[in-house]
Amino acid sequence: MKKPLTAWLFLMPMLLLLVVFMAYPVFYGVLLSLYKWDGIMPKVFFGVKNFVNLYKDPLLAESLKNNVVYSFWNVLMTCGAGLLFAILLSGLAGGRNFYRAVFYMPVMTSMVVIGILSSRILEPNYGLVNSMLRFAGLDHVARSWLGDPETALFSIILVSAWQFIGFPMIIYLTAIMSIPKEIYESSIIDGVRPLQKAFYVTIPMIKIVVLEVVMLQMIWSFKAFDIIYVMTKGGPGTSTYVLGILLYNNAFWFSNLGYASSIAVFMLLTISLLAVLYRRLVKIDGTSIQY
Amino acid sequence: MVHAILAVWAAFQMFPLVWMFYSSFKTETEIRANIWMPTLQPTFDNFAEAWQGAIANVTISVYFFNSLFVTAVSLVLLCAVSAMASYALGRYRMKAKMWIVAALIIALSVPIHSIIIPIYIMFKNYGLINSYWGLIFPYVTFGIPFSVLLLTAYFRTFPAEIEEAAYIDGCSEYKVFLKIILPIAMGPIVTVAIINFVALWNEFLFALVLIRDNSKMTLPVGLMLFIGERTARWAPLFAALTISTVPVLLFFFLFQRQILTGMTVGSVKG
Repeated sequence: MKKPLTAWLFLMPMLLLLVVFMAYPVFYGVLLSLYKWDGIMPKVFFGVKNFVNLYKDPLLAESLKNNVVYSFWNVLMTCGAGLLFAILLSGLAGGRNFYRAVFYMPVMTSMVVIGILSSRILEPNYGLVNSMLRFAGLDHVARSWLGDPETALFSIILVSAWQFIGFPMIIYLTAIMSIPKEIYESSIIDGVRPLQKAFYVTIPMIKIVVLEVVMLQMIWSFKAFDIIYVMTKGGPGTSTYVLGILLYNNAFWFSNLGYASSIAVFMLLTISLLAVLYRRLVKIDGTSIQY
Repeated sequence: MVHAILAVWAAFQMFPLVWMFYSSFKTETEIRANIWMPTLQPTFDNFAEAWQGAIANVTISVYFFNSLFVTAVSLVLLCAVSAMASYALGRYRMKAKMWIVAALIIALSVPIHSIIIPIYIMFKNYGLINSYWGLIFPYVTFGIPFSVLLLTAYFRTFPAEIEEAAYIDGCSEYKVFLKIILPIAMGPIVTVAIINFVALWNEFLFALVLIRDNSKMTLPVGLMLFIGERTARWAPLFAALTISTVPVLLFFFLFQRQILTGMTVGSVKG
C-alpha cells in the first residue's frame, strides 16, 4: 500500500535539483554580495560596502530610470492594446482563432531573433523604417534609431511591446469568453451600446485578470535583458542601461563578482516585492502563469 | 470596421516575420537594391551558407543540433522529475505537502539574474562550463515550479478507483506509477513538455554565460556570433534567422491548443 517514504522518494529528484541549482545559488549569491571578489584573487570581506557603492553608482540611477520607463510604456502598450484587441476579437463571429494565432506568433519567437531582425529594420542606411521615410520624403526624420541616445530606448520599447501584445491579448480574450452569457443578454435587452458594454460590463468583469497581467508584465519588464543586450548592449553610452545589463557587465565584463551580486540581491528583493504584491492582489489556487 | 482594424494589426504583426522569410531567398545584391520586395528568382545559397558556415563552428547546423539536444534532454528529464513529484504531492498524504507547495510558489518568482553569478562560479569549479549538462540542469530546475504545480493540480483530480484496483491486484507502488498512472497521465505530461519547449528553445541568458565554446553554443547565442562574423552581409543572416524560427512556429501551429490553454491556466480562475 501507500507508504509516506515512497512519496519522499518520488519527491527526491525534484528537491535535489531545487536545492542544488536554485536555493543554494540564491544563498551563495547573497553571501557573495558581502565580499569584494574578482573571481581569481582571495575574497575580501566588504560588509555592506557593495550596497553603499551601488547606492552611489550613477549607473544604478540611470538603469533604474530606464527600467521604470521601459516597464511603464511596455505595460501600458501591451496591456492596453492587448485589452483592445481582446474586446474586438471577442465580438467576432468568425476568424477569431486565425487572429489569435497571428497575434501570438511573435510571442513564440526568440527575443534574439526579434532583436536582430529589428536592428535591421531600424538600420540607418538600408533599414525598412528609414527607407520608408525617405520614400515618403521625410528624410529629416530618418535617423540612426538605435545609435541615437534620444531614440534608442524608445525604439527598443516599441519592438518589445510589438512582440508581446499577444500575451495579454490571449489571457484577456480567454477571460472575456468565460464571462457568463446571461450578463451580456441582460445588457442587450437594456439597449447598451458596444462601447458602453466594454466599459461597464466587460472590463469590470475581468478587472482582476487585467490587474494580474499588468503585474506579470511589470515583473517581466523589470527583468528585461535579452532584447536590450541584442539590440544595443546598453548603449549608445549608457542610454539603454537596465539593471540586467548593469549586472551582466559588472559580473562578466569587469569581473566585479561581489558588486554584481549586490545588484542581483537588489533585483531579487524588488521582484519578490512585486511578486508578493501580485499575490495579494490576485488569489491564486496553486497554478499560475510562468514568469 | 472591427475587421479592418484587426486585419491591419495582423498584417503589422506578421510582416517582419514574413519579410525575414522571403528575404532569405534573395541575393545580397537584390537586398541592397530593394529591401522591400520579394525576389522572382529565389536562391537557396543563403541557407547553404548559414547551415554550413564559412568559419569552423560558426555554423547554424552546429547550433541547431546543440539546441535540439539540450532542449530534448531537458524536456525528458523535466517531465520525469515533475511527474514523479506531482504524483507524490497529488496522491499521497504527507505533512510537508503544504510547505513544498509554498516553496514551489516562491520558486516561481526567483529571477535568473539572482542566481546566474553563483551558478557560473559553481560550474566553473566543477567543470560544467561549456558542457551541455551545465545548461540542462538549470533548465530543468527552472521548469520545475510551474510544471509541478500544473501536474499536481491534475493528479488531485485523478480518480482514486484506478489506483485502488491496482493495489488490490497486488501491484507495488512503483509498478502502479510506471504501468498505470504514467500512461493515463501522458496527455497532461505532454502538455507540460509543449509549454516548456518554447522557453527552452529560446533561452538566452544561461546559454550566454555558461557556454563560451563555439561548438557547444545553442541557437540564440550562436546567432549573435554568426551575425558578428558578417556585420556587412544581410542575406545569410535572414536565412539563419529563418532556420532558427521555423521550428518554433511549426511547433506552435501543431500544438496551438495546448500552448494557449497552458498559458491561460490559473489566470482565468483569478
